[in-house]
Amino acid sequence: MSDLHHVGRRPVLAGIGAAALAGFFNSSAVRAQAIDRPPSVLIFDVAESLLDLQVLRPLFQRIFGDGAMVDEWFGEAILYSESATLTDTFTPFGELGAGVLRMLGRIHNVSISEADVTELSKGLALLPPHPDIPDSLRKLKAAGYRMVTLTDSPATPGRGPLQAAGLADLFEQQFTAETVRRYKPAGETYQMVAQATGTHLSELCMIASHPWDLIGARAAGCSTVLIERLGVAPLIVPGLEQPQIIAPTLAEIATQLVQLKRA
Amino acid sequence: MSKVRNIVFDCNESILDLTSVMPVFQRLFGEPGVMRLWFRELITYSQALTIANVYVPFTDIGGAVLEKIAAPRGVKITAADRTELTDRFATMPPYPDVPGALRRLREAGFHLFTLTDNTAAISSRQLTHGGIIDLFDRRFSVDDTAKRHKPAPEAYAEVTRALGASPSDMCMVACHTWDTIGAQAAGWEAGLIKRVNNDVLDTAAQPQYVGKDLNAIADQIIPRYGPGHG
Repeated sequence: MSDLHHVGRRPVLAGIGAAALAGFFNSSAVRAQAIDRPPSVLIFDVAESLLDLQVLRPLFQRIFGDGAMVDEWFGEAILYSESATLTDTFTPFGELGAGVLRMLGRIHNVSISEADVTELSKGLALLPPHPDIPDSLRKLKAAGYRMVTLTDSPATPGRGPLQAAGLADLFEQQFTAETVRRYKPAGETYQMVAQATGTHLSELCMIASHPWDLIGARAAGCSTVLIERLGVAPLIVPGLEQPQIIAPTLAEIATQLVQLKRA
Repeated sequence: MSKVRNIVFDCNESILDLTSVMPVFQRLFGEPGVMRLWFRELITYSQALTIANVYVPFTDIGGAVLEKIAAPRGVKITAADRTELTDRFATMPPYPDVPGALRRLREAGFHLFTLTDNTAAISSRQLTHGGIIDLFDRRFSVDDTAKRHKPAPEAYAEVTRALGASPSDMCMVACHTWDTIGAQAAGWEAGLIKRVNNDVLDTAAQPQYVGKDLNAIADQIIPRYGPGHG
């Protein structure tokens, strides 16, 4: 019962916001439309959405004396990936992430060695899945969904964290923004997936725990699902359509998507 | 030979002290440092919305991000809280080095401008309250021009065009590397003021001038392009 409560709560809140804003904006552009038929392909973001970034805390504790710096590092890496996209100055995510680590080192007066950069990249390649992920992904696969990943970091078929977790085989393809040299939330990244999977953008469903990713996917025409993990919340602004499903775990999201497939 | 004549300033945190909004975060969250998270997310979402071709005024993004941060922490944001944040943001004081350094640059013959993600109304309040509004020839807000947030190239190009200048006449001065990246992508020179919590990013285009405050930047630009030089 508590699951149902959580699943239902957020969409209702989003709906109230939409109603309040209807006087200023076309309400149909604001209100989240329910997903009425199963998406053809589910696209998963990986870092943080499927995999637990917090296991890197000891590394940041060692370097900066503060494990929570992992969030600052990741947040700044995303911020600067967006800047690269807006200014058409693409730098591969691994290089960008290392540059951001050194930038934080300068800011906090800590020297960053090559060994630190290597340790970060090794850590990223071994991130473990959140506890709800393996079973939920298998359930979605068993229900007949086509599933792919779309990441800012390089695709790592045959190796990398999804392989290490025994989950790589569930995905028919792993896409990376590096192919189009524009990072999420650029429309080109989602269009690449539509083209390669032979689907229309409206048949794709982007699943992530980052609202900024979903803003781009929705603008491109995909349906969107927010995994509202601890610390995550949607961005509610006038005129911006909310994700069709918002729930705290992938387990609850999978239940809804499987029901949709059976309906 | 090209010669920078027009110096364009970012406002929030670059010339105006962002830490003056910290009391709102102290009161709401019990820790002033949440301000840094709020500002980073504000920029993350102003960029994400710009990439997705959705324009939302900066103040509205700021309010939405405040609520986004508050919700998982179990903090309720009232209309009064949002108003207080906007008011504090609109009355951030200039850093002590700013008024004098701006006057030095004017006396050296440069034309000074601002380019902000803020609305013109908020920007006017900030610079009037700070007593420095008269030091600028003209002020630009992306809200009036490109309707795309920095570092979108259009934000800078609109200023170049409005002044009838060429990009090589222009220099952006900011404390945010994402802003200098945008200016340099638009063909401008750039100077980075290393305000607290800001520094260069070595994987991106490097600003021509880097200094700890605005005097340190002026010390580099004036000999290069000031009277009798360049």
